[in-house]
Amino acid sequence: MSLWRQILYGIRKLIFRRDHDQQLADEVQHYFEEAVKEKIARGISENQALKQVRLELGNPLSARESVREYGWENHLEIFFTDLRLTFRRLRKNPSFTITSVLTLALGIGATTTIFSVVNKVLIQPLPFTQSDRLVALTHTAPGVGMKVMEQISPSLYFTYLEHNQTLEGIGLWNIRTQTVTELMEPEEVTVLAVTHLFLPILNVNPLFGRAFTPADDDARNAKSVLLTFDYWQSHFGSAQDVVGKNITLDGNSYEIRGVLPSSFRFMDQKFSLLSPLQFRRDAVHLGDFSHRGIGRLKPGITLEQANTDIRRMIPLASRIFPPSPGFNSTMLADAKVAPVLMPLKDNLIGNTGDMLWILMTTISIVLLIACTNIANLLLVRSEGRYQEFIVRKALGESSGRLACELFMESISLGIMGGFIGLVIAYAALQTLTASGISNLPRLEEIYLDIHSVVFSICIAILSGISFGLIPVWRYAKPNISLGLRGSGRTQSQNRDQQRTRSILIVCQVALALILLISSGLMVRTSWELSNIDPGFKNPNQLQTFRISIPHSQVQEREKVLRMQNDILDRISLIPGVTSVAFSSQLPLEGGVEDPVYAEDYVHSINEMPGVRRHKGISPEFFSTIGAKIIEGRDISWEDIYTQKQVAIITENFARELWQTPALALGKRLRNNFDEDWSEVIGIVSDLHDDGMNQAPPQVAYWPTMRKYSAKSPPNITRNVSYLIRSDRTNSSTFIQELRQAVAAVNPNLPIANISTLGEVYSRSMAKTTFATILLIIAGSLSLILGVIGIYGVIAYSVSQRIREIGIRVALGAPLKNVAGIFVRYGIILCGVGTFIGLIASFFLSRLMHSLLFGVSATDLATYFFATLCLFLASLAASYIPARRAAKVDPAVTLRAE
Amino acid sequence: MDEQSTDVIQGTLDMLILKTLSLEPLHGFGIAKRIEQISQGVFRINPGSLLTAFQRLERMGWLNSEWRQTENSRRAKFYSLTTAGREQLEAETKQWTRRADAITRVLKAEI
Repeated sequence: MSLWRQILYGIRKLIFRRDHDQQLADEVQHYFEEAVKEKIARGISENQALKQVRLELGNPLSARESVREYGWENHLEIFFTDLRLTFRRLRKNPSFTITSVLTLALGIGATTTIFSVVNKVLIQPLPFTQSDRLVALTHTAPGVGMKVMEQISPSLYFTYLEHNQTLEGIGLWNIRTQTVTELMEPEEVTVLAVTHLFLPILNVNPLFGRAFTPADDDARNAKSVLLTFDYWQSHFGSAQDVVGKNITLDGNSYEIRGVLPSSFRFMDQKFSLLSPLQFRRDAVHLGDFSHRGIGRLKPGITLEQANTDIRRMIPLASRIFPPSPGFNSTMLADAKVAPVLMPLKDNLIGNTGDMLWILMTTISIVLLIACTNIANLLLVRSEGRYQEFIVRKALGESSGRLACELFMESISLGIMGGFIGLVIAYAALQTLTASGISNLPRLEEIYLDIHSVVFSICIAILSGISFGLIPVWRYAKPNISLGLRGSGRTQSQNRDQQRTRSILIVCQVALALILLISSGLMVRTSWELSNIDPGFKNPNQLQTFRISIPHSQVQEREKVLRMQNDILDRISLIPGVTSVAFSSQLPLEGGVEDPVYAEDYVHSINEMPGVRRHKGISPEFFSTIGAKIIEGRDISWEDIYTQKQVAIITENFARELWQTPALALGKRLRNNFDEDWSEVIGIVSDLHDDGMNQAPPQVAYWPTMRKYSAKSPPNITRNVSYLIRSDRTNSSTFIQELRQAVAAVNPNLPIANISTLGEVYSRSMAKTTFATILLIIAGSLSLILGVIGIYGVIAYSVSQRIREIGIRVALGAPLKNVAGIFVRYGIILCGVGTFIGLIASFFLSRLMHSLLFGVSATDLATYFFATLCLFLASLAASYIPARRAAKVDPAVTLRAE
Repeated sequence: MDEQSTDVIQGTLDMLILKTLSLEPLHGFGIAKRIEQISQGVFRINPGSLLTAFQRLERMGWLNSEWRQTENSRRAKFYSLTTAGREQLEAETKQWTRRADAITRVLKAEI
């Protein structure tokens, strides 16, 4: 009630200010007149009465003012008046204002950008209800050399599903590609195959239609799909009546069950359809670790409890399900399979967290340096107003008011910087998400949201306060007696200021050095990574695309092979193609992980051989990608067509088992006890298949059509990636010709994932590239700001001591000495800063450990060059003003004052 | 100034104004004079704080003000008590009496 009246009265007073003032003046005047009248009525002469009233009641003006000051609106008015004055002052000094606002805007913009990323990727929960209870069912299998095994087998899934006590539900999922026909042009789509509890675990319901039921998990039942929102829009024109219709996938008919909400995302996977992941329970065996599992913890259950629960169930699985063909029933125990559940979010973001926190820290340091710079500029400004402060103080203005005014100036700068910073952050985030340079997880979720806006405003105000604090601390309590004495600043005051500024510069130099060193380390890392021989050459000249020949189109294996071969032949006829091959997976895209037995290694019955990577290839795969066959020969078409049991292994594989590559030739391998042996016909150079910063895995290459044993039919890879070496990569005519070549063989085959190996290669290094670019930006910004800071201090010190210099020069000091004073001063500042920075770097750079490759966190050369770079820059920054000092004409300076 | 006159006790000015106005609407000087008279010159009120108090009380909803002609045909701002003001006066008077009695008792007590 009364609050409302307060606000209402205040607003009315603000609006009718003039009216209100007039009324108040009238009222006060009336009061005084009445007082005088009363005196006169008591018989005092008018003159006397006036005098007495003045004496008793004081000045009517001051009475008016004291009434006027009442009310909240009055403070508001004072505030706005001050603000107007502040802006007028800032406008009067545009170079200062623009420099500091822009410096700050860059700092705040960069910090806000990184904060938005950190917040979205690391801090915000996954977009599912109570997502902290979602876990990835990951395991470890040290028995076969797998530290982390992301995949899980259906047997474990069923065991967990039926016997666990700690999970509310568990599901399997899998990403596969299938071909849609009879809808538009044949098209390859990515399908997320899931068991029926998958959506309930995530707490996602279809936008309309029905979700999957337990019956959908059975391979004997009819097949169905859910459409993603985007696919529904683009392929069905958002038709409401899609439910119940059919869609043809790989030649089979699937009933459309419903449409998923547009917000549905899962693990950064891009997929168009959701289909049931079906099994025949009676055909499940212990193996087939090719799916991924998620679960939802029951409320109040910890990861540890769930791990214990699952550890108990692994032996159970061995009793329920038969071993995989050719394996022992103790295969899980042999592989030492144990659960290491992790929160789904951690599973998604992986080790990106380290990098983002490091970037967040470095960018904040840039902001800190920017603030230091502005603090220095503000100090100079305040020093220029020192006389004004003293006079105002002497006339009775409170220190609080002075401090308020100084703060208002710095906070205004901060807020202006903040707003421009927001614009910068917005643009930066747009670029970041659009360019995909970072390869960050959850990239799609990143945008400038309310958190980022609040964050940037907070740091804008905070930095405003922080760099305002120094001038306030120095000037808000001017020493009147010292200040009013004499026209100039006193010597001690001067020295004090200089010390504050020097400390700021030392901080700046130290911080800049830390950033320079860390960006140097990152540059070294990138350099080392780019110097690693990936196992292929000139990836930018390798055009790639994928073709899958579904069973429904071509049933016979030999025909599939013939078709793949025909496509390859046709492509090789395209002008500009030097060679062409295909493989089950591109380099850097991994492959199947399976154990390998070597004939001359006797594995005891319980011993699992190590898991190796397997890829199926066509002839000339190695010559196409530019790998070197060290010993032996390549796989030939004849090998493939005659189904010869041959293999090619990488050098590191050969060395581990047989020490020298030559010895490995002719040795025989197989994946399983019940398979025939395959002869090693070639040894090929290593392939960095897991990224340049990982050791190259041991790879076994098999013919694309491979016979496991004389009894069983051969296995063919239906989904292959073509690699075409040509200097016409990514030109639209070239891709058109490739399409025509494929269509000439089979017009119903969709081409997917058109790319170059170069793009795959840079994507594999995206994280390092991203961190390096950001650190280079941070490092160079800090270097520039640091140099500006030193320049400013030295130049200011020159201007302060211009008379002294004049005297020195007049007395015959050599110019070199005069300049030397200032250069020495700069070097001392830089030296102290460097020293502190080096020590800090020595400790801080260890935090970067996980980002580095091929360079130690305390790499001497990097430290040396960063220091040298900073030192030379600061030398130049102090030399320029020092030289000006040396050129001082004593006649001019001495006459000046 | 009289030696006798003192500043109004902190926080009681509002009560004095309300009390004065409980008889009839008055203008600023009238109120000041009335308080001075009734207190026999003990309380002398300075116009700055009096007029500020009016602002405050008006905002609290205890006073109304209007510009009126005085008997000697001058325009003056007259203040009058609202119903809420009357209630407030009652409450404050009660409070004050209770306190004053208590203080008196403490001061008179023979320890």
